Amino acid sequence: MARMKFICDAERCIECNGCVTACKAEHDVPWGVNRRRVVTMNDGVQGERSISVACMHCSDAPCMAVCPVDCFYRTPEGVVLHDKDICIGCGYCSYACPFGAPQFPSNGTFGLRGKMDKCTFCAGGPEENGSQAEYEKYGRNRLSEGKLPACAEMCSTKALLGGDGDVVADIFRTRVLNRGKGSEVWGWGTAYGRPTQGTPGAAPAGGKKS
Amino acid sequence: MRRLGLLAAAAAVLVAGCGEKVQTIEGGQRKSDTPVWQTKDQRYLAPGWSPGNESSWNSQMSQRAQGQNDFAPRK
Repeated sequence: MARMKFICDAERCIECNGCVTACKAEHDVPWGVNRRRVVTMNDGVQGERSISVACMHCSDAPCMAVCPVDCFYRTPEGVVLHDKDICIGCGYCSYACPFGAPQFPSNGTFGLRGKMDKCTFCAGGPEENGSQAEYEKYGRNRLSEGKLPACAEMCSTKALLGGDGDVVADIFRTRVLNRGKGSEVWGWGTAYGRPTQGTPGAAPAGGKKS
Repeated sequence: MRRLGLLAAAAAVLVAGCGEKVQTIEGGQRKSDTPVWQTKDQRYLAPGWSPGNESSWNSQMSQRAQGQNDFAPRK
């Protein structure tokens, strides 16, 4: 069984926003709602890096945990989806999400907050796959058509990879090895520091002795 | 003539709601989703797999993902 994931290769992303445009066009996403966006770090500085960010379809999704009406569910493929007929548009999920994935369309003259909208991994919603009702609420269901998400498949530099986590991780690993790098470019040690950089629980030099 | 107009107006009022979509929530419960390898609309299907067949869909996904792999062996 596939476990769907996205990986964005910061070495390849050229901030073209092709993924954003593909998503908008594929799902007729309304004005003001961005299911995907490109974030650039150190913009304008030499060595700047960009990554494309959307819902990461977390294995232990915080949006799912905080939703007061329990409108979220996870498909057997690991895609986090929600039922817009249940959503009350409270916004708790947007506070819980570390990626800013949940979006809220503004409706009417007074800009009332509508029901939450987010990346569906091009897997639609609980309505019948490929139905008009599903399209109107969630956009196209490309997975049920045997395709991968439009953002990943449209990426011109293949920076954004989408698909079965094992497969995309293998693709990314092969790239990194071809760049002459190894496991030092990702993983726990890179993110949080290696054991040689400091031993957890060690008393600081000159500290009080018990 | 006037009577006919009144009748037409009354009929229009009677059927005015027929175009409305149902807005009720059945039981207020989340709906269950259909398996991803089944689809109603078969117009935009990618070639090379059989809809309704889980293993066919899984292999289609793996094969399709290789389209993102620059280092995949060329056939």
